[in-house]
Amino acid sequence: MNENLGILFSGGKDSNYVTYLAKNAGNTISCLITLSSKNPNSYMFQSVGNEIIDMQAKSLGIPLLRHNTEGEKEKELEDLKQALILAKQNYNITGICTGAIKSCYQASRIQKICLELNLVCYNPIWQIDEDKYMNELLRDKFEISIFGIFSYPFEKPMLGKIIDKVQLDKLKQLRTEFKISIAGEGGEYESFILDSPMFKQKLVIKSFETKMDSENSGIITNCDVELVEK
Amino acid sequence: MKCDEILIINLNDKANTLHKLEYIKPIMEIIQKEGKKVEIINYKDLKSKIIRKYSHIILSGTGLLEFEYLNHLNKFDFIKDEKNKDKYILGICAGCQVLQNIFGAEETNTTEIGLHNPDILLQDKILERESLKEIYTLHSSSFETPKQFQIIAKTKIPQIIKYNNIYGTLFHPEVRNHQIIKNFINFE
Repeated sequence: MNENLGILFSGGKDSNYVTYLAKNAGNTISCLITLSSKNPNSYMFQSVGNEIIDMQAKSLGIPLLRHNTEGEKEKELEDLKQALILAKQNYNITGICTGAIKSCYQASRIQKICLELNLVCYNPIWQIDEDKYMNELLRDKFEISIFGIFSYPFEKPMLGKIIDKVQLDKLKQLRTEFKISIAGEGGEYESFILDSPMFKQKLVIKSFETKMDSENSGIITNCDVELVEK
Repeated sequence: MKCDEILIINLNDKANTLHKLEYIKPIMEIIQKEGKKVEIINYKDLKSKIIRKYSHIILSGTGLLEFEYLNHLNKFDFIKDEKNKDKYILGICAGCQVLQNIFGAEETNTTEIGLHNPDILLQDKILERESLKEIYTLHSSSFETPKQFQIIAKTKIPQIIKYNNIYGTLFHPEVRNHQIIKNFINFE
């Protein structure tokens, strides 16, 4: 099936994985659509890693359509709609792909906008089993870095950690103790992808700072990143 | 006839593997966790010799802009066939609309997208251990309820309908109401 798709792209594991799935399903990925939200607590859009997302686009070789939003609840949906209109006009997309997994709030709002714009909305990891999903990500060599933490029991040392087999086992242990989602579906953490099977070059972080709002809430910021050959 | 294996009929375009991940895989995983096997077939490939093999058949939902299956309703004639009256059929969203359509209901075109709290009108074994507190709907069209069917639950329009062994859910139970699928596949 060959469709011109735009990916609703945050730079995290979910949007990168659906980019991979959409490409493997035979589609053309015409653009990555990023809503740059000024509100770090937006219900709809991830803001961590946003400042270096163009490095991922460059490595993927896919144009990035960046659209700003204040991130105000419901009003940000109008910003999303405008971004999708631009993607339709500039890249002739016939549909979009999202990384929605469990959030009916997010998924239903995007579905409504797509219906209004006559765009097909694909959610290829919708309802995916989180254990299988995390294993698939590691199997397919996605390098997942933790760029934001937002709840107990996550603490500052987790920021910048790569989710490999060892970290995944630690997340599973935290799930047993504290009932967290190992995929971060409860908003426990946000990820940023440094390498994937689709990246032509990988991202290497030379330095970063952390900004903590509380003991269990903080993000990576001022990230100095370079692209290096794989 | 296979009771330990469920047939899912995919109502999405055959080539569309992304929609298959979204509308078929979640149902498949619920069934597999119950220890049963699943066969998936596209509606365009349906043959009576396949139907004959299964006691429980699920018609899947589709993407919001996917309506091609409505041009092939003759593929679902088996549902009304007297010799299949003992089979359990569950139509989900588009699958429910196929049921409403082949039993002669009129289109109403009601769009519902998101979470809803339905009212239960009738107790039924499909609702065992299922409170139906929240349902996830995703449809841009709908149909009246055919006169043969009973309405088990509704929002402003019917959400679960039933006629003998044939059930339809206009919402997607694979999102917030897994127990409905578990109940259905264990019907004897």
